[in-house]
Amino acid sequence: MTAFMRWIAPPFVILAAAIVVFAVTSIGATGSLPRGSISQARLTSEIAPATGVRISGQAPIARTGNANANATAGAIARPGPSGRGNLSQSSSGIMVLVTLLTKSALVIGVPGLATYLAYVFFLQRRDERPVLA
Amino acid sequence: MQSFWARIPLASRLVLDFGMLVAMILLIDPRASGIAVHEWVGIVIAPVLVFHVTLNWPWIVQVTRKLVQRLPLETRINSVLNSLLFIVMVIAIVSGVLISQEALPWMGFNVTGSYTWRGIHEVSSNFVLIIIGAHLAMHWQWIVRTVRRVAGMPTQRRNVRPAEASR
Repeated sequence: MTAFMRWIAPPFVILAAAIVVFAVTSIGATGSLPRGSISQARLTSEIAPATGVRISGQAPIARTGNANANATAGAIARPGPSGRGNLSQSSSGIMVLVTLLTKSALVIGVPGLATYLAYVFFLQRRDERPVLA
Repeated sequence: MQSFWARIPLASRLVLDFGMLVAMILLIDPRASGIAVHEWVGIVIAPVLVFHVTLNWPWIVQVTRKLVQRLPLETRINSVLNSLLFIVMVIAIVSGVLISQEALPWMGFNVTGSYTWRGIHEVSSNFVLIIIGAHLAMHWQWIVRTVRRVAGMPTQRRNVRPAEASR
């Protein structure tokens, strides 16, 4: 394998695959590709960094799920579909560590353990069985 | 036993993989870590994912070439699992970018932030975590052997990833 095929081409192939996955998901879910835009306010430094709210006298950018922006806009701050609400408020210290480790043990550890047991008891034992002619 | 210098590439690979695991743990709960940390870690993990796949590119090429031929079941399961993980990770990362509240607006991009993408992000990221557990489990024995090898401890078997046994 040449250096080009080993190190240069793969990232482009991976990116192309990612774009295809994204396009298929987007068209399947929304019927079109999403369109973003460069904020004019950003170009003229008119966005308050923390909230994304225009400070030039125009109406604030209402962004669903962001309680700060919606509250500033006069809208009722409401949580997203997951009930996440204002995510910019975070807990701190040891509680963060405990929460993350507990959740990771549950959502990564449990499926991982189940897969490992299945792997050891089924796949490895299967490979150790004598091959019948 | 390999010399210290010969073990460095393997050690770097372990560090990269361990870093990705730590990043995934950080991404689990945006309310605990904070939305800004959640978004920036999610953005940073994208190029790391590309690098991780690039590092394992020879395995992908070999398995893809042999896919129609006889392959051990273990290798087939691994390839399906890895493909699935790549797909859901791409969906989770892109949908996360599209509902960004801090990082993208900070960079000057207006994003859609629709409920549809929010839902897609939640579903795909839950799948990512579950599949990562399985991905980790399928490579657990390789991880243990590699840690022992990097630490200079004797290993019992040849140091191959489970899926590489077909080579």
